[in-house]
Amino acid sequence: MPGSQRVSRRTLLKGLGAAVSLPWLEIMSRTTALGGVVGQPPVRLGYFYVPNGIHMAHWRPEAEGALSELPVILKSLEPVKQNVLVLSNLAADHCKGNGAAHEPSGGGFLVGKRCKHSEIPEVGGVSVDQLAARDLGLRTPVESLSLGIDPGHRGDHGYSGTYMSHISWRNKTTPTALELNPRQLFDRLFRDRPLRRPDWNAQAASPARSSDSIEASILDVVQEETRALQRKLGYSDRRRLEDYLDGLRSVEKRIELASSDSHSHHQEDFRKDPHAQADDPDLARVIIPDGKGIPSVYADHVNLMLDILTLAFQTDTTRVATFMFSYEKSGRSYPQIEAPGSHHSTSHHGGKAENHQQLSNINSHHMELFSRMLQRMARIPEGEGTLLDNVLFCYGSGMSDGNKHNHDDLPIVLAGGAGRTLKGGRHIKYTSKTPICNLYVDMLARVGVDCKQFGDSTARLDRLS
Amino acid sequence: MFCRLPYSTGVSMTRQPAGWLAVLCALCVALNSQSAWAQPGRDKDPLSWDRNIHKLMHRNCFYCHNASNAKGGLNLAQDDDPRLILEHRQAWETALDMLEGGEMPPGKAKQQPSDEERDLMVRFLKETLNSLDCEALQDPGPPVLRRLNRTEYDLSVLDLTGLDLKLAEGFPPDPSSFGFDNIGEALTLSPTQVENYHNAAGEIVLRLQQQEQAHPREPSRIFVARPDKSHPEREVAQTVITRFATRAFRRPATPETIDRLMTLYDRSRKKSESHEQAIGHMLTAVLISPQFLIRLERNNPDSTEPYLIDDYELASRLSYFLWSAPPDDILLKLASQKKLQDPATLAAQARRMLKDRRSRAFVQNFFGQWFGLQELETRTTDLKIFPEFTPAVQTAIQQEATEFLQGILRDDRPCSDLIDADYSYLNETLAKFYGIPGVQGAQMRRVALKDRRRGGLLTMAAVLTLTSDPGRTNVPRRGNYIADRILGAPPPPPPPDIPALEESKSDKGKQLTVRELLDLHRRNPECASCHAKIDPLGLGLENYNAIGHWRDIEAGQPVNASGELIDGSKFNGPVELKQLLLKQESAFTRSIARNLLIYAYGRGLHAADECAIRDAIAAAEAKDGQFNEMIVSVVQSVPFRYRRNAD
Repeated sequence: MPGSQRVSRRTLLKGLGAAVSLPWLEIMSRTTALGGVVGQPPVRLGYFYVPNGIHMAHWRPEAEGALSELPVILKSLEPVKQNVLVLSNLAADHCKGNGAAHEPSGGGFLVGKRCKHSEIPEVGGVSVDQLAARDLGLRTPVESLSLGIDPGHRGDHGYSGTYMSHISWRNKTTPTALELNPRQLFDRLFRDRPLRRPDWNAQAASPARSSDSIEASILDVVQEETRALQRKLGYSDRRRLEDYLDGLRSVEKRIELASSDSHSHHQEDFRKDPHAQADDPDLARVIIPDGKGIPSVYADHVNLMLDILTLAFQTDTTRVATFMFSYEKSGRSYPQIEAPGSHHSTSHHGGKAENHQQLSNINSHHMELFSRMLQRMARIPEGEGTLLDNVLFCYGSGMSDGNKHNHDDLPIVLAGGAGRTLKGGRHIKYTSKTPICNLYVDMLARVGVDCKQFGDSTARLDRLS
Repeated sequence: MFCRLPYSTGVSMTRQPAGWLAVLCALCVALNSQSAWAQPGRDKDPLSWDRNIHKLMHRNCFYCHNASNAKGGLNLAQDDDPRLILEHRQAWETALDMLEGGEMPPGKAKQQPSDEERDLMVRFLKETLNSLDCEALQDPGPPVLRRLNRTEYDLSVLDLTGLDLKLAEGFPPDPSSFGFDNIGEALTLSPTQVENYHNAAGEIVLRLQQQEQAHPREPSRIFVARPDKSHPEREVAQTVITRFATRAFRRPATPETIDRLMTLYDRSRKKSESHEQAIGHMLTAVLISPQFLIRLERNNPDSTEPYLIDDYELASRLSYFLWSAPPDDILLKLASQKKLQDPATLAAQARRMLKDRRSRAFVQNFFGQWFGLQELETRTTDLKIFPEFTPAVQTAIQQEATEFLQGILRDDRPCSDLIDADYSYLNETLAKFYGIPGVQGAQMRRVALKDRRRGGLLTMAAVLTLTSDPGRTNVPRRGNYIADRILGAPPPPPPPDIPALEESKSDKGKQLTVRELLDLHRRNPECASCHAKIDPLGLGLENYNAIGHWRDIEAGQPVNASGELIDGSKFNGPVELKQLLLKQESAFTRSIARNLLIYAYGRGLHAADECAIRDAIAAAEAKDGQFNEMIVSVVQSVPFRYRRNAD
């Protein structure tokens, strides 16, 4: 990718960040079209996954309490330290598997149940992000996003490879589709929808269906056709077609929201922003590199995906997302940061200093990219604060030490302000083997999803506020 | 004992296979008569499962192989009924090997069977595993619904429209089960996918309309008719969409469907849109229809027995199996004449399709996934260590594997070529890389190999690279690759928290060779049981470095590529290793057949599939081991041609 193009894209994105700044009106509490409170942006939920565990010696802060000098891997969080919590001693007992650790670490991480030992994946239930999306997703054009960088890998030892490449599950057998291609993603999210800043003060607009649109009729015809087909099919096939109809309905919703947009909460076109105009009127072309749309440098790819994710949150296109820095058991090599070995092979470090160093480099690299996104969010004004104040992100792995394959003492960072309800800047040590699902229950509560028990949770995690 | 298929001679089937309920009973009978399972009057039989064997297994095996403690990933305790032993054949064949070879129960286990008890368990398992009655067993297995995966989607669009857009490359990756991305149950649908299909349809239709606008008089795959004085627009629209929907659905579109689509045309025209625009909406509807995106097969609700799928469905099974693409005109025509279920026609079509260039998709998707060749694109090599691994070399090593595998189909080569062959496909770049003289130019061509240090997949740079780490060889991984992919017997996963090899205190500061390191490995009893099997296989390839270059020296010492397999057979170097592997051809052909069936049926294997496996192996054996014969046998197998209703 030529340097000039990259600069222009970066500049543009900065411009976009600036473009959403609006004076936020503080008005009385009232439910709006957006759900939540008028004048107050909703909390967006995100889960960020890193594979193969972490070199914990370079992760764990020495002392409990206020974060002071950050350990090597967390160093890049310094500028956003006050928006970050490091949580120790959380455990994912459900990530244990029959003679295989990586598959259930990925597949089970957000589900809180054991993965079935099977080539046909079955995780035991819905993942926490999708549980939230069932509710939060009703109000946005896109229910949720499930993003990643690498396609998966075939499974081993009788486990489906799908477990390793998917942390987000719509139900116990259906993973959410993982999007890897930034161009495709950007197109899907914004092609027929100008980038607009949300107005959290808007009143509920009746989602008037423009029933005479041909686009809607096409969906009607296909739906009718599908119903007719279902009668000729067996029971399980009919159910699969229900999934298809679900998908059609989500397309329908997009079309409806787009057509009723003029009187909804999406106000001004981003492209009227002079920054954007100066670079290129066609945002999609500027933001996405040429070719197949996947940058060849890992960091560029991650940054691009996270930029689009930021944009999706900013524009209230969606409120729930997961992101995988790579699939579990990933053998990706990172020669550009002095970690040329296969990540998975290196994670079986055998106590060797050279392997520890490479792992520490990889772990730090991922965290730097995550931190860069947080720092950008901290510069995007929203409501009375910033976008960062209105997100709630969990960053971590289903495995602690990649050599031991242990699922207790997980590396977990909580980031964002959750609507300024979190008290950041701290390292909290919980009782040994506190279920990570306790954290999920808390996160759900903070985004307004009432769920007293999830997975193997025993209580809502305390001490976060 | 191989099962023969109940073919009828004519178009209509006169002999239906036994109902699948009857099938299970046949299975029971077979078991009852042969293995004395729960059979009255034989309750003193030492091979009675209920009376004796189950208890022995319980005492000797299940303690470590149950649901909560499945050592080696093996849960044997779940099979508390001998029928399930057949269902989980592969696991039990492993168990049988272990019992017979004295490897299990492990030496450290307190509970050990007496020789007599061990013998009883071995005899029981052998009898049970051999007790299939393929004449009676005609179970096509549970029905499978497959949506098009990304490859199939792109090839279907190409076939339908002539547009090579590769839109699906940007779709979410398809889930992989059993090592393949065409497994029905795993190919789930989520809204993101449907949205992708919707967007893609928009793009395709736009292109088609632009094409029509630019060249309104040229012949078109889509606009097969154009309005004129004698052909009014609406009639033309109906002709166009009928043809398009029929191709897209891979079977004649029903009048009801066409009527529904035509309502879109009428609505559009009423809004004063053009004829072409109105057709465009119908095309979009077809392209997002489940009949295009999913390979639907009709249910026969009244039948409790397996039934033949119809000829159009068979045409699709055939074409997506061998081409990853929709049936061509020849197949559709045969289907319309109801001739495709005729065994001779079916076999002839399979042979034709294998020679067609579209079988490249089979090479890429079946062989490519089975042998992991698709992973070459994403794996990285440390170019600081191997600057000679240039883009030209990387391309060439992939091409070599593809050309070689394509040749297996084109030239009716035997399966054994995969292990060792006296030829390969090289261009100048690759020949230089291998140190083979006399090949000039960029074109890949078949080259005879005199020196058998090259020849067959295992000695190709493609496989040697993808089984290495970025900067060094990985002996256990190479060994595991041979055990898993070639011999179909992957070792169980390694235990966690493995200590560093170097830290095992046995050296005095001198640099150890890989072999010495692995010897340490094998002195640790926890590692030894598996590594004794896989390490020697991998060591046999130590003469090839991490990018597949030949080397005689490693870490300052001569490479020692000699080894001994678990059965005691010795070898020295890759040439002899290949000879030993060829002697295990039955394990290899079974591994091929298993993978082929999974790929063809789009599902995991069940008890009755053993019959199709045996048929496929026998078919190849009868004709010099030709791989193509296996394929012909698979398309004629019961599960490929039949369907039954879900349980």
